[in-house]
Amino acid sequence: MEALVNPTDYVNAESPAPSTSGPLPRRSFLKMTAGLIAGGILGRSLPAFAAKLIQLPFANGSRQLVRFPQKGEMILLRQRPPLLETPFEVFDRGVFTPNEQFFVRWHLPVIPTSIDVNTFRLRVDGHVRTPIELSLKEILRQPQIELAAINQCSGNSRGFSSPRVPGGEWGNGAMGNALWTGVTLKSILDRAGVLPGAVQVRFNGLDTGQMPETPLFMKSLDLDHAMDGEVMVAYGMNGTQLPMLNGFPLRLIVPGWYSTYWVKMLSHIEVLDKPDDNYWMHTAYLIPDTPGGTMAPDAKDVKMVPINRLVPRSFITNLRDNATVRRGVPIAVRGIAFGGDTGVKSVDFSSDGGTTWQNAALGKDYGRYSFRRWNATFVAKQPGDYKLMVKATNSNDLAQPATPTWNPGGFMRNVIEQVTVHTA
Amino acid sequence: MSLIFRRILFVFLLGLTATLVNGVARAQSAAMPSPHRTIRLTSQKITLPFGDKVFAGDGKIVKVTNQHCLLCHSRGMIDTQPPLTLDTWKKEVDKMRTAYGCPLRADQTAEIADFIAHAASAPAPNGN
Ligand code: HEC
Repeated sequence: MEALVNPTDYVNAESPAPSTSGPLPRRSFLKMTAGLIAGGILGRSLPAFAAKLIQLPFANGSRQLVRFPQKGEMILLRQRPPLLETPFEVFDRGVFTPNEQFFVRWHLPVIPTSIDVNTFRLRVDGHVRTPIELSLKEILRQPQIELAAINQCSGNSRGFSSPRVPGGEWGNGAMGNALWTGVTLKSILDRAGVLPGAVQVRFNGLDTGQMPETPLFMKSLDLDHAMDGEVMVAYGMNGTQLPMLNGFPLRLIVPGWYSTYWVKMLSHIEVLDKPDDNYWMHTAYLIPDTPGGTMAPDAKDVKMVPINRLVPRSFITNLRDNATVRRGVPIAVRGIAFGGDTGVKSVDFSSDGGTTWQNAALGKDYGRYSFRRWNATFVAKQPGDYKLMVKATNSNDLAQPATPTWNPGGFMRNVIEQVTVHTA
Repeated sequence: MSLIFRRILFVFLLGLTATLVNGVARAQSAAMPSPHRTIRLTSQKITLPFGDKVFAGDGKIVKVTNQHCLLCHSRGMIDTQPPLTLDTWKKEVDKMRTAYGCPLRADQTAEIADFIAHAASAPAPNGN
């Protein structure tokens, strides 16, 4: 189990009050998922007059900054279903990402916009001794666990893919780190009693498609993984309940694995006696079965497998590309790093485009699945440009690559990042 | 009335009923203590934008595109794509039909892909 976190160590504003209006205009476009605990009201588009624009550094990277219910200012990628990216400066403020600015990623457009905590049930069935339905009260009564873990979209940084690929065109902000509170998935599966012959466990949330033909967004884990005591069903995020758009009331947490498995508004757990062949496991979210998931853009007949473990990454958070720095004085550089499916072993910093590297100092360790702060300094002795680079190596000795990953899905980018600054 | 607006009217009526029911549900939201760190769970209700921007124009293909390509996602999904070849757009439209159930005929793919390839290369600044 990972170390407990002192609640004062993380950046976390108060959870906002349940919002019925929010800053969005309401109009009489109403929409309802009949029969569900969920009723949804859909306003129309966001007001164009409020538009604050930013430019992500790739072709067609113009984006609006917006506020959705229970969320702070976010980069808008798509309104329905919402895709909201964390503005990068948020990552400089602390290793825990505030709930209000944690990225948002839905696939299917029919998302419940109201949840009643008294009637919500988590169903567990399939290849089990006793199918069960658990209320939130029952889940809250179970032994509690806490874990700091990064939730990163498989396609984080897709917009930097070269050649470009279709998909959600994120910058680097489709990731976040939170302290998750909940119960082990194992404890829930044990209550239902997994039968011999079970091989995988499948997860589904309350979201559904607009057309009945659209496959439900379901993801599966191998039984051993599901029972490892770390995969959890969370009801707490940074010390409070989850925002609706981040999966209230329950979200699956799969530490060290890409976000696609972290099913939101988790409502159904199904134990399978054969491997899941549903669309989102079998056809979507596949990566080349190669180290780092990379391949040549023109390669043919590459074996593909479901995406899985995170790979190491690191970022400079306090200096932007093109920033001006003072000459002849020590300049503090800092950022965040993560090891992926294991902890950070070291972070190296270079101020000369990777010719020489120095060991960065590592900040407090919140557990192997968390962001870790790093710090370094350098002096710009000569006038001119300085190419700053940062590279993380994880405790399995896997280091970030010098050349970018490419695959047709635009997944798993983790190339060494660089920022160019110049002297005043 | 277009397909999309008929849908909206339908869900409007459903939603009216829903709002009344929800009003009651919210009133009884309970605080539930947990043994260690206390996480209070309270019933939630939010409003989400629909993202109703359509492709401008009144040609037949504009109408077909608006009726089909904005059913499952708002236009932002299309506007934020990188420059893609016509061939890639054809594959995308086919994927929408075969993988997700976009109610188009196979023989409508080429025309829509051609329209989108041009429309998406000139996205409006407030893409949604
Ligand atoms: C039946 C539902 C449905 C319809 C209709 C539909 N789409 Fe999609 N579309 C989806 C889904 C589901 C995704 C994946 C969403 C996600 O990843 O968030 C998607 C994703 C996309 C993407 C992103 C790239 C990708 O392949 O994931 C593009 C571009 C796109 N759609 C364009 C279109 C166009 C153009 C049309 C009209 C021909 C269309 N869509 C109609 C369901 C639909």
